Amino acid sequence: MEILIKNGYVYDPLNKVNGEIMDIAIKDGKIVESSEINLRKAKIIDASRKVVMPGGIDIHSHVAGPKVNTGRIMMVSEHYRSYMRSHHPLRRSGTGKYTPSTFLTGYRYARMGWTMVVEPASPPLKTRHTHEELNDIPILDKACLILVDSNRILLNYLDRKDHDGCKMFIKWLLMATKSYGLKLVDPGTAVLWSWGKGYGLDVDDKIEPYNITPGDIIKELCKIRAELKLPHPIHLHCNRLGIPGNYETTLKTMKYAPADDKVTLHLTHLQFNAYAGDSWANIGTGSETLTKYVNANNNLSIDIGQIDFGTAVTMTADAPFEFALFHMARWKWTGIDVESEAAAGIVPYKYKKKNLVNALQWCIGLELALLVKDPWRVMITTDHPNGAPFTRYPKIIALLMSRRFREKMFAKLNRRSVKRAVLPSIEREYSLYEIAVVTRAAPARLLGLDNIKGHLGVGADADVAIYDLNPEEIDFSKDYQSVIKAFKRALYTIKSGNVVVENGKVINDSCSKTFYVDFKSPPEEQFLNELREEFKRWYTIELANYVINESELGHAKPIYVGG
Amino acid sequence: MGGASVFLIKPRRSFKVPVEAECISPDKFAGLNLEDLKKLKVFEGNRTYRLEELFYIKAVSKNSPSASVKIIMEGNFSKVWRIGEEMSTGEIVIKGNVGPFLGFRMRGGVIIVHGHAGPWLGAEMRDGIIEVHGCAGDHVGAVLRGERSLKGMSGGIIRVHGYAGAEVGACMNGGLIAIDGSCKAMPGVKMSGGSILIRGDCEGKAGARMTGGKIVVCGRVGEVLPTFYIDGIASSVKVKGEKIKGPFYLFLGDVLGDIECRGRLYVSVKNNPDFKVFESLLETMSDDC
Repeated sequence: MEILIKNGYVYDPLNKVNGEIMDIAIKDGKIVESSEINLRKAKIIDASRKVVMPGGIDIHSHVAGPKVNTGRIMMVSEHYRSYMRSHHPLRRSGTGKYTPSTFLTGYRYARMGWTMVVEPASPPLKTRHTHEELNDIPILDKACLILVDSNRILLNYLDRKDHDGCKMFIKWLLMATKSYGLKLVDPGTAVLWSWGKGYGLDVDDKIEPYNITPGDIIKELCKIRAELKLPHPIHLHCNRLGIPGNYETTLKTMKYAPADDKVTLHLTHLQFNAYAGDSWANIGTGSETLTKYVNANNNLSIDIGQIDFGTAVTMTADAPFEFALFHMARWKWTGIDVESEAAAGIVPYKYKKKNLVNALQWCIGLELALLVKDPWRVMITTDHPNGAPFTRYPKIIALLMSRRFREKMFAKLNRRSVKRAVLPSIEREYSLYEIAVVTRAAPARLLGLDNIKGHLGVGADADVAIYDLNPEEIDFSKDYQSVIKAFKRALYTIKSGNVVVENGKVINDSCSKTFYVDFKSPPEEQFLNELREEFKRWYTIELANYVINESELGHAKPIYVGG
Repeated sequence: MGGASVFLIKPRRSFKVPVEAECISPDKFAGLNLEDLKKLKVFEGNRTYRLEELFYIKAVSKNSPSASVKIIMEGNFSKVWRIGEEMSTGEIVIKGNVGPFLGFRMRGGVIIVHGHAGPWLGAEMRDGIIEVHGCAGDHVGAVLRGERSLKGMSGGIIRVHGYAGAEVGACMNGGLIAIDGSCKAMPGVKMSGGSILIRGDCEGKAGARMTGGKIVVCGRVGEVLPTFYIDGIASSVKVKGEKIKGPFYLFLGDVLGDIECRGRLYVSVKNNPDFKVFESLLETMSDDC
């Protein structure tokens, strides 16, 4: 199919295009020169007075896996209240608001103009389930990161200071699970949680019974990641999440990132790790200190993990914190233990405007986004569904673009928290170009996919979003409502050269694929024999059943890396 | 009802799949003339119909639109869901069986059923009266699955003259549920207020995790949970002004729900001869004091 998008204001930061009026030509799922397409046959979309951007990329969103599924089961009450009817043959039905079903996840992202999502925390043993669900998410391109922070076999290698064994194991694990990168969640906590300990484990504390600290794990895995040349940096959820005073831990963690010009450590949902003070009563914001450090060091990137008020379902592999949160929220809790790999907890939570802590959390998230000067190293996320469902992105974009909107919100928030926050004194407003950076170009670059994703240059995948927004006429600072309206429902979303959304309605639910990293050289036979023995000690299943075949992925797209 | 507009509704055919008819409610009927009323939307399975396509509707007596509304329903409505949802005034009389979610989140008015009612009768009720002359299904006056327990029945009266199913008054906060027959397991699970009166037997696990309120069982109880403490023997008990003659064993609990044990469970002495063992506990306690 050939498409010509005419006369749109194009925002394409990877090619340094800032709101110029351009034509975008699409042929066979790729972007081509305008001269290459046959104008008679091509579908012509008139985008004059509209904004054209690459498709959005969400770097951190829990959309699939056993944890999400348990969250769905726990939130029955929202599934019978919120549903989308099927529309044969264009789209299927689905339910859910905070933890939507797989089909709905795809449709809702596509309606906002997003075309790729990364599931950031899949325990390797359960990654088969994650892939099954990812296969069911329509339209979007997907990738998943595996949890390696508390893997007993890996910790044994680390304890023995066996660097090569460690590297080989990580390489094998990535190949066996068909995943895209490594995620660390509160390194070491899940091991300690097996003994009912682990709450508030600091980055320099020893992980009993091993002779290592979370810092060692971070350092070693950063090194392995560089040696294996993985496209995505280590995706780190810092220690002591959600505990007042944790910004000091975060600062210490940042220092473990290997020095480099490129990003070597990605700190995810930093908002939850940027609290000052020493109790819930005198909680404050640590965003200034953290962003100062991020601004000074090019090897760090962050995503904000913004909260929005209302119900959310917190789900994280930081099981002890979830157990503590359950005693604050007092609604329901599920704890999960994944053999010798990870643990998780799920607790639904309601963020309230008049609550001191919740209002401050809301401010801190925006402070982080506004205080980091380089938009290429900050990304918008809500840590869906932890902070808010991903459908709140339009609102967060508007908040970043309009100081007036932020000021209007302050009047509704807890007064003490507004006094403690830095946000009221920040005047910065994001431009549309910067929004295109933080939601499209920066995540693509961080995933190492900036040759095919996140831009509209010739040769890129034809993932395009067109929004009904005229940057020449609208003052985003004043008319923030029109920003929300435009981003809520994209006028057109084009995925792999197919129009999937037209006038905010999903009209096609195909064309998704799953990215994973693959290595040219398979692990050595000797290592596999060793591993087979080790596997018998730690796992309930055989090694052969653990490995996921490429045929189990819907539309697999391997990215070959060296190492 | 002197000044009321009275409507008569009968089903046109027997339904095979559920019909979602939340529009059959005096609140929705009020202020509409017959023609508008016939155009209200109902679902049968996944298809939308106008109300008149599935039901005969007749205005028996018509008064000014502002008058209160009485709806008389004749026939088998056992596949019809959500009748009287969120109604706040008026009256519904059903001569026949009726399906699930009758009087769901009801805020006032009266519903009388001369037949059997389905599950979720008066679920999450706020106020009003429901009287069922036949039996009712599971979850009478209960909270919906997964909801916060605060959203349970908080007022009003449900009277069932026949039997009822399991989980009567789950997460109940107020009001009265009176069942003349027996009920299945777990009446008053997680309840924190209000009263449940069961004149027949109960399968067991009465008041599991209750943190307040009152459950009275006049018949046999399979067992009392081990997390309840016996407090004494009451000669009679008052339920919403009505005096029920006993004697009753009074249990306090559930210690799993609340350490203060503010829930009260009354169990008939006469019909539960196995519970004599509890009386010995009472004696030793009084000696110690």
